[in-house]
Amino acid sequence: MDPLSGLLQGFSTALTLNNLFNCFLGCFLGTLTGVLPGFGPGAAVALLLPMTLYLSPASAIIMLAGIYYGAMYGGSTTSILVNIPGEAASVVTCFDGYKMALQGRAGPALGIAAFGSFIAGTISIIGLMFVAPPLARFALEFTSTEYVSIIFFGLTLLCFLGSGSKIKAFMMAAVGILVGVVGTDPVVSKDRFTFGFDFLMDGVGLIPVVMGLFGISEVLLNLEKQEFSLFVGKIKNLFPNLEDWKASKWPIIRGTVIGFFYGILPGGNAIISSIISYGVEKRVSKHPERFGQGAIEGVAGPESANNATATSAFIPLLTLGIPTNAVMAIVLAALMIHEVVPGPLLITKNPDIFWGVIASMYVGNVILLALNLPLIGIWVRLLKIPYVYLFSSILLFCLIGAYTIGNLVSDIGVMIFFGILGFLMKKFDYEPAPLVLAYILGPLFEDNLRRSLNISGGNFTVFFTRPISLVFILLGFLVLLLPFISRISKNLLKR
Amino acid sequence: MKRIVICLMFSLGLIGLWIGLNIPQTMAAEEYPNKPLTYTIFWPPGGRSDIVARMISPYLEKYLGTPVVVNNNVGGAGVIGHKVVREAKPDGYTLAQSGTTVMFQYTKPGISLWDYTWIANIYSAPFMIAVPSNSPFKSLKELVDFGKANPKKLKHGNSGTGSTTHLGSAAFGMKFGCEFTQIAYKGEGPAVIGIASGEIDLSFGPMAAFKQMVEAGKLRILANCAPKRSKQHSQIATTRELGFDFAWDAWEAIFGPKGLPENKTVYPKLSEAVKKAILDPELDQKLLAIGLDVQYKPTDELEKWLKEDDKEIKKITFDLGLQNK
Amino acid sequence: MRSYNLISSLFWFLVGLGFTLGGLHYGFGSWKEPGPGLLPVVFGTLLGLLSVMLFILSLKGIKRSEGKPFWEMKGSWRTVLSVLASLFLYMAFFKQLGFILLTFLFIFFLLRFIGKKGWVISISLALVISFFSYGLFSLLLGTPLPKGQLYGSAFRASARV
Repeated sequence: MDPLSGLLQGFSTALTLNNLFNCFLGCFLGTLTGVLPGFGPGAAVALLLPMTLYLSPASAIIMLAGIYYGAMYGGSTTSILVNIPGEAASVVTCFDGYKMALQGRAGPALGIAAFGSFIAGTISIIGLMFVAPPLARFALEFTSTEYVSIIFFGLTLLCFLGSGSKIKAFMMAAVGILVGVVGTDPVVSKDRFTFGFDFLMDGVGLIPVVMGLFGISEVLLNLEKQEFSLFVGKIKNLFPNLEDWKASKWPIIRGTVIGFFYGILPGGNAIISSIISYGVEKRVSKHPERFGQGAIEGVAGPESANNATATSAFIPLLTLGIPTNAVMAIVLAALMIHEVVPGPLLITKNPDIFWGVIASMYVGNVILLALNLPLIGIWVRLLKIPYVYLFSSILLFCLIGAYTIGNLVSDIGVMIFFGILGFLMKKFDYEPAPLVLAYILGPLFEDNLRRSLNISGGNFTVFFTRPISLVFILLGFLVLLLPFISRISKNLLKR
Repeated sequence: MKRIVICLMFSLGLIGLWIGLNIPQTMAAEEYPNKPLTYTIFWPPGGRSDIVARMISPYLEKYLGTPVVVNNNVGGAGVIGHKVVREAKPDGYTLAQSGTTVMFQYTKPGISLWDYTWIANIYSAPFMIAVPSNSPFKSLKELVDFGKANPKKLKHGNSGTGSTTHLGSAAFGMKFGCEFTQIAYKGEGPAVIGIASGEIDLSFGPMAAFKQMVEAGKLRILANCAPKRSKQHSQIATTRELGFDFAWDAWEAIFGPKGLPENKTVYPKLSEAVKKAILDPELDQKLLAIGLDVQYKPTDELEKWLKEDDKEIKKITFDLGLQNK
Repeated sequence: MRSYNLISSLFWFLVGLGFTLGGLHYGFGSWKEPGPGLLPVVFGTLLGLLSVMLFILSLKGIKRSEGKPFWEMKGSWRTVLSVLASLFLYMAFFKQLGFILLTFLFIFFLLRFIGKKGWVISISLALVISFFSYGLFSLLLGTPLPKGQLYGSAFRASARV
C-alpha cells in the first residue's frame, strides 16, 4: 500500500471521535507526567497500560504514543521554568532554557520548544512513512562495537557543552561514570560500592540524582542568597519574536535530522540526540560564548532532537518489532497483549493499525501544540508567584516524585544527598550537567564495551576497523582535540 | 481577609471529600476477597513476564471478583521483590509470578524456594535454538559438530548472566561437548538484536522472543528443545528428533507467601480461581499467540516438578561457577 | 576561584583514589573478559589525574585578588540547614505520619519559619497544598502514598464502633 492511500486510511481511523479522545488523553497525561519531575513517560505508560487492555489495539497504541511524545513536550517545561528536567531527555534544555527564564524570556523559550517539537515531530513522521523499513534494516548494522564509539563520542561532547572550566567538566563526567558504577555489576552479578545497602543494589537511580543535583540544590542556593524574588518584573513577550525564529530555524532542522536518525538505533536514547544537537549548535554558531547564557538555539535544537527521536523510535518497533527503549517495550507489550505482533508483516497484516498510529501522530502533534501554547501563558504567570510560595511546592514535588519511583523512602534520601552535593558543587564552581549526562551514558558504555570485548576476544582494534565505529571514534577525538587545534592554528595565523 | 476565608472553606471541603472517599473501606464485609490483590513480578514493564502478568490478571480478577493490580518490583534484580513476598502475610492478597526463583536461590542472596507456597504453574515456553539467517550452519548437527571441533569459538547470546537462557545453553553445551562462549545481554530483547546484527552466532530462548525476527527473515530456528513438536510451529524439529536428547523451557508459576494452604478461609477459593484463570480458553489462546503453551500444574504436581528442577539447576549453576559467593 | 579549586581538587582526588582502589579490589579482568573493576579503575584514575592537574594549574595561574571565598561571606546558612533538616525529617517520618499530615507540617514549617509568612496564610496554604497534592498524586495518578499509623489506628478504632 503506498504511503498516501495508507495515510488516508490511517486518518479515517485516527479521526474517529473515540481515537481523538484517546489521543488527547494520552497527550494530556503525557504532558502532565512530563511536567512533574520524577514522573517520566515510562511511569505514565506503565500506569496506563492496564487501561489500554480494554481498548482496541490501534486505540491503545495511539494513546500510549500520545503519552510518550507528550512527555517529551512537557519535560522541557520544568527544565525551562525551574531548572529541573521533567524527564531525562530534557536535561540539556536546562542549560539555556532556564537562563532565558531568568532573563524574563520564559515565554519565548517555551514557545520555541513547543514549535520546534512540533516541526520535528511532523517531519519525523513524514520520514517514518517513507523511509521506515530500509532505515530500520540499516539500524541492524549497529553492533555493540558501534555503540561504544557512539557513546564515546557523546561523552567527549558533553564536556564541551558547558561554559565553565573544561577540566572541571571532565572531572564531573568522570564522577558521573563512577556514580553509575555503583550497583550490581551487570555481567558478573557482583555488587560494586554498595556497602551492603539493599537500596544501592540497583544503583543510585537517575531521578533522585537529577532532582537532587538540579532541583534541590537550586532551591537551596536561592534560599541561601535569600533570593525570594527570583522572577519578578521583566517578563517580556510571551512568544518567540522574529529574531528568535530566524535564530532557531536551522537548529530546529539540524536537531530534527540528528534526532530522527538517532531514534532508529536500538537503544536510541533521546538524551544522546539532544546532547549531540546542543554540541552541534554550539560548534556551528558564530557566537558560541552565548551558549549557557540563554541562547535560544540551545533550546530549539535539543528540543527538536528529542521529539524527533521519540517519533523515530517507533520505526524499529513498528517495522521490525524491536523496542529501542523501555517505553517502546511497553508499547510492544500492549500490542502483544492484543495479539498484534509488530514486525515486517504489520504493514500488510494490520494496515489499519500501522497507518492509524502514524496518522494519529500527526494529530497528536497538533493537539500537543494546541495544548502547550496556551499553557505558556499560565506557566509564565506561575513564575510571577513570589518564590517564597513557589519553593515549598518545588521541594514537595521533588520529595513526592522521588518516592513514587519505587515506593522507597531511600530514594528520597539519595535525592537529598545529591541535593547537598549539587549545592556544594555549585558553590565551588562545578557544573552538574556533565555528571548527570555521564551518569546516564556510563552504564550503556560499560555494557557495550565489555560485550564488545567479549565478542572480539579482547581485540581492541575492532573499534577502529569497523567503519561506522571508526567514524564516531574519530569524531570523538576531533571534539577533544579541536580546542588545541584551533589554538595552534590561531597562533600559526598570527605569524 | 476574604482570601483567607475562601482558602479555609476550600480546605474544609477537601477534608470532607477525603473522609467521604475513605469511609466505605472500613465498612466492608469480611469475606475474602474484599480488597485488591497485589500481583508482583520481578521484571520491568514490557518484558515477557510483564506481558503474561497483564494478560492473566484480568482473568484472575474475573474468577476472584476483586481487582488484581500488577506490580513491577525490580529492586535488586528481584531480590527485594522476593523478600517482600516472603515477608507478606499469607492472607491471600499477595501473589507473585516467577520462573526464575529456582535459579535465584543460587545466584542471589536470601532466596529459598520453600519460603513460598507454589500455587500453580502457568505456562511452559520451550527453547528454540536460533542462528542469524546468514549463518553457515544449516542444521543443528552442523552447529554442534563445529562446536565440538572448536570449543568456545561459538558465541552464544544469553539474556543475562545466570539467566535461564544462560543455564540452558550451557547445559546443552556441556552435554554434547560443544562449549559456547557466553555473551551477556540485558534481557531477551537485546540478545535477539544481537543475533540479528550478526555479532553472535546463536541464542537459546523462547519463541516469543524470536518470532518477529524470524518473520523479518533475520533469524533461522534450528531446533525446538521440547519433547514434542509445538502446535504453533510444527515445522520446527525437536532436538530429540535431530538426535540430541535435550529439553529446556522457560516457565512461570504463581506463588505466594508460605503458609497459604493452612489458611482455610482463603486458599480453596484462591487456588480454584487460579486454576480457572489459567485454564480459561480465551487466555490460553492469547498465550499461544505469543508462543507460550499453557501448562497448568496444581500445587502437588508443581512442587514435585520444582524439586527435580531444583536439583538440575543447582548442579548446572555450580558447574558453571555462577553461584553467589 | 583559586581556593575553591585547591580544596575541591583534593576532595575529588580522594574520590578518584577510592574508586580506583575499589576497582582494583573487584578485579580488572583481562582484555577478553573485562571485570567489574574496569570502569572504576579507568575513570577513578582519570579523575585523580584531572584533580592533580587542576590543583597544579590553580597553584600557578589565578591571582589571589578575586574576592572572598563563599565561606567567608555572609550567607544565610541557617536557612539552608533548616530546610535540609526539614527534608530529612520529611523522609524520616514519611511512613509513620502519613502523607497528608506530614506534607501539611512540612509546608507550614517552610512558609511560616523560612518564608516568614503569617500564621493564617501558612496554615491555610499548607492545607490547600497538602490536599491538592494528595488529590493529584494519589487519586488522579494512583500512586500509593502512605496513610500513616494515625490513619490506621483511627480507622481501626472507628471500625470497631
